[in-house]
Amino acid sequence: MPTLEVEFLGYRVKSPIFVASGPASHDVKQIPIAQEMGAGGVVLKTVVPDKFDYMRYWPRPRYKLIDWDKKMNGKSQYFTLYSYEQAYSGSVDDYFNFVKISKSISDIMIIGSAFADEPSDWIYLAKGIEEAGADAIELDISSPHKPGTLQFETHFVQAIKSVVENVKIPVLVKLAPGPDVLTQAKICSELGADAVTLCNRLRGLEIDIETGKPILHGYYAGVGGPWAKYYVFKHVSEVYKEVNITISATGGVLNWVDALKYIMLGAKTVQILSVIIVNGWGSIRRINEGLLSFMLERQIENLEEVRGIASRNLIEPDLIVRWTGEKKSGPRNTFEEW
Amino acid sequence: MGKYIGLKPLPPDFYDKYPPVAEVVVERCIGCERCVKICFFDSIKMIDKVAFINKDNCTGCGLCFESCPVDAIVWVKDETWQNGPYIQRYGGGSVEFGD
Ligand SMILES: Cc1cc2nc3c(=O)[nH]c(=O)nc-3n(C[C@H](O)[C@H](O)[C@H](O)COP(=O)(O)O)c2cc1C
Repeated sequence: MPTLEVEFLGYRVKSPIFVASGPASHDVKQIPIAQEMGAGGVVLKTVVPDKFDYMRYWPRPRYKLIDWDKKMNGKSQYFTLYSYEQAYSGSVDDYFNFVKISKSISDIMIIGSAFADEPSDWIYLAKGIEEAGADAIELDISSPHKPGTLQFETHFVQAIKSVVENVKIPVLVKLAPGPDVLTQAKICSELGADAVTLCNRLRGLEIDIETGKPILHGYYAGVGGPWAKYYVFKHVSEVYKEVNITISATGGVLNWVDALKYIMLGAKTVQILSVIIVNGWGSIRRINEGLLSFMLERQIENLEEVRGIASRNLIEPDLIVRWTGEKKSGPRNTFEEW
Repeated sequence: MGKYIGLKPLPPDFYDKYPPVAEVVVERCIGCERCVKICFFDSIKMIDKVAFINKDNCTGCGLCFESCPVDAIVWVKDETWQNGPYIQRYGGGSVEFGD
């Protein structure tokens, strides 16, 4: 019988499918649901230091489904979840309690998630999350910030270093997509982080032409959707080939095929969120079932057999088969009779 | 019945006075239960084949507007709210977080 069990950061988890940090991991009531649906673990909603309490208040409304096809609902490959949601809405102490209870009422992997600016705050949050019993901690250095404020080199390198030095549980670093992913993943590995989470969502902007205003709260917002997976596929592949670090993939997973692709590109685990928001908790079960039936059909016993295969099949650019003899006139933009 | 609009691009005009919460216009509801399924906060239930929103649970996120095929969901004021709105005041170089 095939199994979905995987080794992840020293733990044996029942499935590579994890709930990503966000509104589906903001309350203890959600943890048993995730477990029952078959998630291997949960990354809890990101907590911020008490001095940032203003980041805990959320605007209304804060979600908009753009290009949402009401007939297709969440099966469409083209919608965008546009959202501006702040951090975990309770205090740091509430969060430590949240971790503790989540751990005590479940037997899936519980990963705490934190965001701060100064190393002392990072250490305080990380140690508290460790003491509360979390199995690992994810450093959310990539939820979109005010432009021009926190930078990887000036703020986060020091943060990663101080957390790694101060906790014993595995440390994951969640990176933003973009041209720096590979370099940043290398630095994370050198600093002793155990894994990278690739990738958070990008920040975007949608406006209303009637009023000329940015929609909803009037400011930039996180954007993601099934279309967003292709650039993350590339990041996962690149990091898998170049850096010796565990990868947890996240971004745009709609079904088991997407999850399998991330694994074939080298990810150990796959974190999902938007699909849970739009299609419900059953998404986790459906993805697990899809993976299992694919494995049965192909006689794959363990996901390790296919993990990274597609990245290993990536060829070097100088081996790409090309043809000379392209017409001198180049691509045409008129369709004349032949 | 008008064309399906979904969530309007801008918040209701009272959004900076009272927190908006969602409410179902009973006469328009067709009982399809899509909003019940999409609500992440257990705030929508079917009562006599009509969706009912429990305002205590509603976080005003906006998802149910998108799920409703007949635009039967509207914003209402949560007048029980005691505190005013909270506006983030960022100084120069201060920190923001949002996804
Ligand atoms: C509404 C919303 C809130 C989120 N909040 C957080 C957060 O607090 N911390 C974090 O690290 N990522 C956050 N994320 C990012 C998700 O964890 C996830 O990485 C991302 O949405 C990509 O996965 P998906 O396409 O399956 O949604 C949030 C995403 C959404 C949609």
